[in-house]
Amino acid sequence: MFGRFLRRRNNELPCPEVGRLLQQYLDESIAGPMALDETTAAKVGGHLADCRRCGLEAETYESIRASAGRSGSGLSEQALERLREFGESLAAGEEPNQG
Amino acid sequence: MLPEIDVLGRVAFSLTRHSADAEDLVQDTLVRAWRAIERFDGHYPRAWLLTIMRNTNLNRVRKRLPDLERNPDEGASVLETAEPHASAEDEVVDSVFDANVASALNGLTDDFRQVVELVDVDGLTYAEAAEIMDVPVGTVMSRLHRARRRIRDELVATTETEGQ
Repeated sequence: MFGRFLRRRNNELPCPEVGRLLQQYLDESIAGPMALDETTAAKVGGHLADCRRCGLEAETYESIRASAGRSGSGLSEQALERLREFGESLAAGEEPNQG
Repeated sequence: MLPEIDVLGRVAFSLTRHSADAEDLVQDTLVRAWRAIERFDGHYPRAWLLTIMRNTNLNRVRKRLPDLERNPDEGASVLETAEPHASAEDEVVDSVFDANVASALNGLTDDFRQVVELVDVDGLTYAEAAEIMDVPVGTVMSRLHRARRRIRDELVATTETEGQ
């Protein structure tokens, strides 16, 4: 309850601004130097918890990302296995017989 | 180096969109890495391998300029079934959603499609995608965000059309 009160107090960002920062916020773990600073991230997080429309928008982007992730690599397991064996033969010091 | 082979395979497929070419690209990358191993400083093997893959792929593309046009449907993402514990209804909903996302993704221009594949499909960070695409990290971010926004807009348009 107290946390919710704090979020509201910190909820200073309007929806368009949150929309602009949303993907950076969601990509926190992979954005590296482009990640939002802690204060801004907390404000975006607070806004998403309280604003249904922006919260749904965040869910949409999460669903798109998850769906893309499910689409797989396109390389068959057999191809990957061949590549692993090839890599292992190189690591074992064998001269490559191609290239 | 070996733990990175699966990632290299995914990235190679995103770059080439063709299974045999992707396999060749990973092999060529590994051979180049093997030959240059003495110049590797031991840090960030994935970044090092991605740089080698980028350069290897550039050479391949240069050699093949006349037949760059590929069937955009070739090697398109094969949709996997939904999560094991999902209900049959969830699986249908998921597969329709996945098909719409795949369609929107394939409808993007190459630069936009590639950045989504590298980050959201292959699991690279912004910095790793920047390395393989040879562009600044900020460019990766702006392309990625615009690409996802286009996919989102396409999904909204599809939903509205199907709802009519």
